[in-house]
Amino acid sequence: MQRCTRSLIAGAIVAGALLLAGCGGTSNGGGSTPTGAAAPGKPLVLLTPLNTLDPLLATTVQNDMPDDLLYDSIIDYNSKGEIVPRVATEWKAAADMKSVDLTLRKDITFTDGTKLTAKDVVYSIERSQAAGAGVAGLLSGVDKATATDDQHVTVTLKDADATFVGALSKVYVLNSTEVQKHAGADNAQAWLAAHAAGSGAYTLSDYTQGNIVKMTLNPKYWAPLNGRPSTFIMQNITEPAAVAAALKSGSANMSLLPHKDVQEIAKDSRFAAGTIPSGGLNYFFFNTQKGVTADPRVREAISLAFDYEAFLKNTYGGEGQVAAQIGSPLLGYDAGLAAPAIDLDRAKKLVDEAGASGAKLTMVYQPTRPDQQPAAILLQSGLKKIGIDLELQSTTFQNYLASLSSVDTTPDLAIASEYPRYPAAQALLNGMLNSKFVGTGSNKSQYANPQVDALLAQAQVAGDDKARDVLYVQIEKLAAKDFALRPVNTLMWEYSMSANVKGLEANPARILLNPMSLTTK
Amino acid sequence: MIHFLLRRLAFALISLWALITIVFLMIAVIPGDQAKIAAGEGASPEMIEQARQRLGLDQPLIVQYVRYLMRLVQGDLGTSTSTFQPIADNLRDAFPSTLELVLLSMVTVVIFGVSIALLVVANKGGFIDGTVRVVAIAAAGMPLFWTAFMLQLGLAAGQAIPISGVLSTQYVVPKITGLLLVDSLLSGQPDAFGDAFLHLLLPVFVLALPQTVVIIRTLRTSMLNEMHEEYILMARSKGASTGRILIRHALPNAIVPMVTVLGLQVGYMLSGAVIIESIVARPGVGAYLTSSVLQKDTFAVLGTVLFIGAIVLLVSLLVDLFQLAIDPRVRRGMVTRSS
Amino acid sequence: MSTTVLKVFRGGSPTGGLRGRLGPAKQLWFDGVVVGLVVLLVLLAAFGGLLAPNDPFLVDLGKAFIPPGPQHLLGTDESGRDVLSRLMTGAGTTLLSALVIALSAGVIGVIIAALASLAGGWLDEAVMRLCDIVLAIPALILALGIAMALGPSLQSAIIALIVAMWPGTTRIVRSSMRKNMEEPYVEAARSQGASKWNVVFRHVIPNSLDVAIVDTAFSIGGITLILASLSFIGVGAQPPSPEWGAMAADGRSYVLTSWWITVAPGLAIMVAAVAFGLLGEVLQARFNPSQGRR
Repeated sequence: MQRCTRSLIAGAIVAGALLLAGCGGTSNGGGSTPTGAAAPGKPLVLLTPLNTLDPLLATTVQNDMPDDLLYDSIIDYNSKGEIVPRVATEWKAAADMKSVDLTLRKDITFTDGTKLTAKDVVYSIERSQAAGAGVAGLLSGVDKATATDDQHVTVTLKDADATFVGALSKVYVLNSTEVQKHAGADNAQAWLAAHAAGSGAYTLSDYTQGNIVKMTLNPKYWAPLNGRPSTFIMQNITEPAAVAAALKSGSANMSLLPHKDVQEIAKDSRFAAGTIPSGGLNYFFFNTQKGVTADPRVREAISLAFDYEAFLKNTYGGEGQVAAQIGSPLLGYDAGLAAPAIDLDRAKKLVDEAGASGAKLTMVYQPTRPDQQPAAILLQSGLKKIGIDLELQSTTFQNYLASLSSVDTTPDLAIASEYPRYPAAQALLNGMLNSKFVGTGSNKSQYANPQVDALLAQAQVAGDDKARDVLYVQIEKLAAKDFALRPVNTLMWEYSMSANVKGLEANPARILLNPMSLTTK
Repeated sequence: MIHFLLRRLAFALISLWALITIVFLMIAVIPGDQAKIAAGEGASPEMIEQARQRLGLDQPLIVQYVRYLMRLVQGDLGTSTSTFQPIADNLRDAFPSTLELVLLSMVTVVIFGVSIALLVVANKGGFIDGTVRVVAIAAAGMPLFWTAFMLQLGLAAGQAIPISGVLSTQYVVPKITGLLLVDSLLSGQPDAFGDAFLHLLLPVFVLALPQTVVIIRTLRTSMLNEMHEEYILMARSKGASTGRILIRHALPNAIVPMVTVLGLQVGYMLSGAVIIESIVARPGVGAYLTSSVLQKDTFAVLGTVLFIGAIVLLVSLLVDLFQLAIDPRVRRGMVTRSS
Repeated sequence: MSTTVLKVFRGGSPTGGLRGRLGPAKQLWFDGVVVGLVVLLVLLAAFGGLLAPNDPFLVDLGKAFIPPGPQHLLGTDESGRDVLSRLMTGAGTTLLSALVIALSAGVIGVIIAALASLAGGWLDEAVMRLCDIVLAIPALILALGIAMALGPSLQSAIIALIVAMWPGTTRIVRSSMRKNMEEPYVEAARSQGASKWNVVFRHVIPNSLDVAIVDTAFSIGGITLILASLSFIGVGAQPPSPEWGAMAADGRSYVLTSWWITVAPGLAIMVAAVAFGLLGEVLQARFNPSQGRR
């Protein structure tokens, strides 16, 4: 009996090993498992939008996904929204909040064997600033970065900013020696678009721009994880029929899909469905300074004319929540505001009070976002019932931003989503509510309230998390009283995946998911 | 003859210049601030200014035109605002995939076009002739994206023929020429070849269908016309069979107009590639163009338009030269004014 | 892609395509059916919006993704809108736009051809060369570039296609005019002292109009296809427009579980393209029975 069981187990192990070896395929040459270290899992093919590999564009979802595997960021966030070490083990803000001292790990090596030191961190920051795109937008407050020794970097800021450190979660550390060889006239953008020079969990084995990225597990990675896929392939397939076919045939393991399709596929036991919050929200933005919407009663009426629950149920199959506050729940504070609900009677009263009955308003939305159009149309039918005629205009993101450059060209209403690149409430609330951002495209309601400005300035330099949260709650309450903008719903991502994929996790610093937490059996 | 050649080359060069100028005018017409678009979202005013200077958008139009021409001569089509790479590089990387698709489609068009045309002519007035005509009419009216979707839906369940992508992920084929079919053979991977071939079946079918219909039409017409020629009647009177006549006489003389039509088809094939490449997830010039449209990367769009236009001009020049070389009637005909 | 349809239907054979295959009685029947179909489409374009059974813009998220059935003959889309109603309303957008493009390109083409023939000499040559150059670029590609530059919208696509299509008409009309100029009656009129302008306007142009009309009719099918493709790619009509190409693009994300959202407009495009192509054949036979070869 014992012998039987033993040979069964042995047989299973052999079969498993053969399966692993077979699946590893011709692409995984290296990757012999060091004794005692984490064992790699099966290959994983994730379908996701792709562009290039340059970490400069880590603020876009297309680049962030492969970059997270090929590089390490200076710091990182966990799924609870707390800052955790990555390249930097310590980050001390100075008392005046005008500089941050970073202490770096000693044991990180790049894929070419050289050690990662402070000069690489400094180079990564400075190169982003010089290139002037993508991540540079998050580093606009940085004055300079200096390496005080091999393991220490000091980043000095132009103005005091208590929450600056979060921005470093999007700065991936480049191998400065390697990248500088290819710097050329464009800060190595062309080279880094198609090559990797990082210290990450994976090395690049094949790449076709915008189409496929193949990565092989780095056996020497300093933070191994048991079951991390031996090969990680990201592929860009846009048509849902093709995505479903790829999943069903086994040529892909994981993909975002519309709600209905995810449910449909999950009926097959070979697949599972996973839903994670995204840190993003849909908002209705008003022109708070001009036109009919300048009257807060009209704004309140509009907020009451939308059927939030129905929208959630019909567009997202009930996933996600109706949003009560501007900042997502992942940011860690609760302003204690009530979730909005439809109330047409009260809305009609407000409209009549404000003398806005019969008014004609325009709302813009981006048709490339599949949920914005149904929302706009739903609001349109609600507003019709309270006496407001809403005309819908489709627009592109760029055109919408351009229209926000002056109060006169700002549309009456707009629906747009905001995905904070990293979960610092300060950056989000400041950008959306501070009057100094009127006319820049980030304060989309052109909202100006000196009380809110003062509170934001206070929070900017408050060193204590709790103190800041208190201020944020106050800010939220003021903005809600003014109906500056209307948060609609928190956005969820729904993934369809093979049953052997585990570890699907949201990460507030990654727009989609955290690829580093995925394991395969 | 030389005179004709020179005129033809001059025409090609002037056409290229006109195309370049048309594209430049399109660039000039773009509403909105190109610098803002280039700098991306969340860009500070300094970043936008940086972008403006980098792209030379603060210069007067004539200066921009001259700089544009000079950059083109060096093969510089500008920088994509979505990939941040030189557009020419992106196109160079994307082109082999499209080339593979178009070449294979044209081969398919020739093979099926010629064989079905022969069948139809031999069967003139009969059942096959009629059926093909009806099918041809439907096929010519089908929007390419629709045909692609229908096929994807139909084949998805079967899983025998892949409905998207260029290669299954377990194969790694080194990039020698960029043409997967060629590279897989060159690197000794026949199963990768088979896999790549399977991935081409759907897109090739979609692209080849309308063009095959055109070829059948054209060949049918020219062969039927040939059949009325005197030398054919003579051959018949000598007892030659229909098949023999078709293949030995009618077909060769019908080849020249067919080559012309094939040359013209390159333009349609490239248009078709633009429509379906993103549907079937092939990383070619068409997919690049459609994603540039979605990302509002106007420079990349216009650069690609210029690229495709230039290729079509080149192909039509080659077709004309080919006609000149092989068909004496054309050489004679060139003396009279065209059109 | 436009002139693919052209080539199929211009029935290069002396007997003229599908129609040519039929005997005279059946040809009459054929003409009737085709003209009837086209008239139906035009009526749909004009009045489809009014005749639609449901409001094509009414959103009812509770009714999203209903498959074709008795309530909604072609089902509902992701916003709960009736697909059939959208199709009927969109007929106006798609077909009228195509007609506008075809007619504008036709008129512009004839005018330029007339002016070119009047001017004669190098100007005439230059115009013809310009036509050749524009025609050398695939229409979809050229229109895509222009529409993108102008800013994606239905208007941009219409302008772009007019620019891409007029040289085709000019070439054909000019060619026909050239032939007509050599006719004996022109000689006769000139020798009687009629001015060049007089001759061109009173005789040559009217006699070349047949060609223009047939060409315009032929082009509508191809234009419909390209317009729909432009909207599909994203440079033409923008959602939520019920333009057929935009509808197909709208529905592509849901094609797995709700195929009717994309299939219906695609089918409609095909029917329109085929109908107008056949109309061209009919017109050609009626106007130019001798001009089988192209």
